[in-house]
Amino acid sequence: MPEALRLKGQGASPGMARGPAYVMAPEDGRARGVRANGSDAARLAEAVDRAVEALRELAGRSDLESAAILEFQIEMLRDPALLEPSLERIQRGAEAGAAWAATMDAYVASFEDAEDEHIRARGADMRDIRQQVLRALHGERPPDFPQGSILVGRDIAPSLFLSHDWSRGGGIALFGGSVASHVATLARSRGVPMVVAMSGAEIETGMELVVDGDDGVVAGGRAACASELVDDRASSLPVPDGRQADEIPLHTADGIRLTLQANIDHPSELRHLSPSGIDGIGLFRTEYLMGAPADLADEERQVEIYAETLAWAGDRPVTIRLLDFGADKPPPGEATDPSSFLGLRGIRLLLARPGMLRTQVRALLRAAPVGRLRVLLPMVTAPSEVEQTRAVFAEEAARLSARGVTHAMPPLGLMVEVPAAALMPETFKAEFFSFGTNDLAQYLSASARDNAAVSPLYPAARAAVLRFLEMTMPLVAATGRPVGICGDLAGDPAALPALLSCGFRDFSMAPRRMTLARAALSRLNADGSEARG
Amino acid sequence: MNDQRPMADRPHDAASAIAFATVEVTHDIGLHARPSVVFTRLAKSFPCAIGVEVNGDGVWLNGKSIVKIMGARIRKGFVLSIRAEGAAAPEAVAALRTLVERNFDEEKSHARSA
Repeated sequence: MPEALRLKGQGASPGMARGPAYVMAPEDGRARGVRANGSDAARLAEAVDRAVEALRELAGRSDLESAAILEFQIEMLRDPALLEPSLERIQRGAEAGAAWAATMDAYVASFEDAEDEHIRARGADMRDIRQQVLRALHGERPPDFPQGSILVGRDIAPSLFLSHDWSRGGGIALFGGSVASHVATLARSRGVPMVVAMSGAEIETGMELVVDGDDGVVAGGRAACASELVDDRASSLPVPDGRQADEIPLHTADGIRLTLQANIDHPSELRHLSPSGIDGIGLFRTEYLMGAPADLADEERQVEIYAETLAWAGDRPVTIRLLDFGADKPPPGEATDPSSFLGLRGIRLLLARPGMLRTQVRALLRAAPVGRLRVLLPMVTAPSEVEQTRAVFAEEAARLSARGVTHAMPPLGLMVEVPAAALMPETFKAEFFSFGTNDLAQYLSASARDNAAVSPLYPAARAAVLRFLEMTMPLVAATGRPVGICGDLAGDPAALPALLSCGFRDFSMAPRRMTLARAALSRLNADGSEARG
Repeated sequence: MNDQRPMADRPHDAASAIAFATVEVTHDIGLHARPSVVFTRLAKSFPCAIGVEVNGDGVWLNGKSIVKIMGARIRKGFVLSIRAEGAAAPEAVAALRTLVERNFDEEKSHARSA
């Protein structure tokens, strides 16, 4: 493959984007040393006010998460601790822009030499604020770039990310940047693929690029065109709403009602879905909402996100899973711990460190009255874990009552992914069950998901999982409580006949899997056999 | 929470209340963008003067300034001294201390059993 460009970086936001490169000019960091009419002090104060106004306007049309980041910038700009040193510089004879730039440079430097990546990442916000005021001072418009482009540069300002229209796709490929930056958080929540810390190479505006945010690779030229990855992901585009709506409710060929629900990681994914096209949210994985440790403690933000999702779903159920941290998904700011696949994960970790559990429980209780909330407990092994969690719900509900805060108690369900729990369903005081087949496969085959050396064992595990489901599904069904399935297997057309034959009627899967699954299920009888004719 | 620490840099005024508390940041990453916004906004909601000292270094930062609080790069294990002087000083100190505790209480052991 001639002219193949393949740059290795670090994936900061998953997904695949393709488009022409737009290479951002290096930041014009210099302040114009020209004197303008009017006092420098007044001009600078006005420029700061204009920058705050522009940010308020942008925050007003942004989602909550983006607005929170802009609020941070607004608070910084409104703090006299930035304006006052600049005014002192002006009194000593500096021009307005030069005074502001010098103050900000001194402040930015204190972040950029930090060892902690989360502190360094705030440097990008400070540079953004610096430039916004300089632009306001010089009467310049904020930069933008063509829709659908792959933005290439050293770093990208949060305000640029937020003011750009990403509705026509596009991606971000940075030579610098950080997975801990605000832009990375925003890119993840908006589904904009992003790679940071990319190895250096000449990229020109207009060059065709593919950004692979999963593997942290940026490919260009012919390499991008030939990539089989692109075709694979192209089929993963969301299904148009109208088509989904036509096919609800879903029945098997012999007329048995099935439900099809969506697995999501963030409410932004709802934009591609119509509530009338699906039977609800079968699995909302909340750990992906937590980009920073502060998010874990932000009860109000969680209430907003859960309430937004419940309101969207209306009278359809929304199953929110408690934070499933551990192993390959450590709490934000902590290192991965592969050994915790068999250790403190899911509900075990939450009960061991109940601070984050209690915050989430309060947020769920408060959001519950908005819709039909169900709460799923991950990695449950023993009945006592459900009882302890229920006790936390009861305690937090009592505290909310004492404070006069509106709330409601949702049903608690068991994520069936530990074989021991699957074999003993009647011992759990759970109000519903949902099989999670990915971890079930790992625990049945004693093969860690993240260990490439044992990945060849997975085909054998798959057959064992299907037989295990066949054996344990009658035990769960005997409890008389609702049961569904939400692992990758539920969205795999090849596995659906076996799952129907086991007795599954409620399936939850990634939205992009729904079209194929829906087609496959409607061609099958309820016993899993192929419908004739 | 009352402390005998001298407040040498402020003349004592019998009319104004003084309150003081220390709190350790137990969170793994510390005080970042969102918590700094929440902390300083809460501080600004009180009429009294609020100072924050980090690890007893003798430098009192304005607790209402996000620039100063962010600039202090407050991380896990740091001990914050919070002092307030003026109207509603005890309430301000209690509210800010509770905020830090509530935000960073992940390491607490599970106190109850089922």
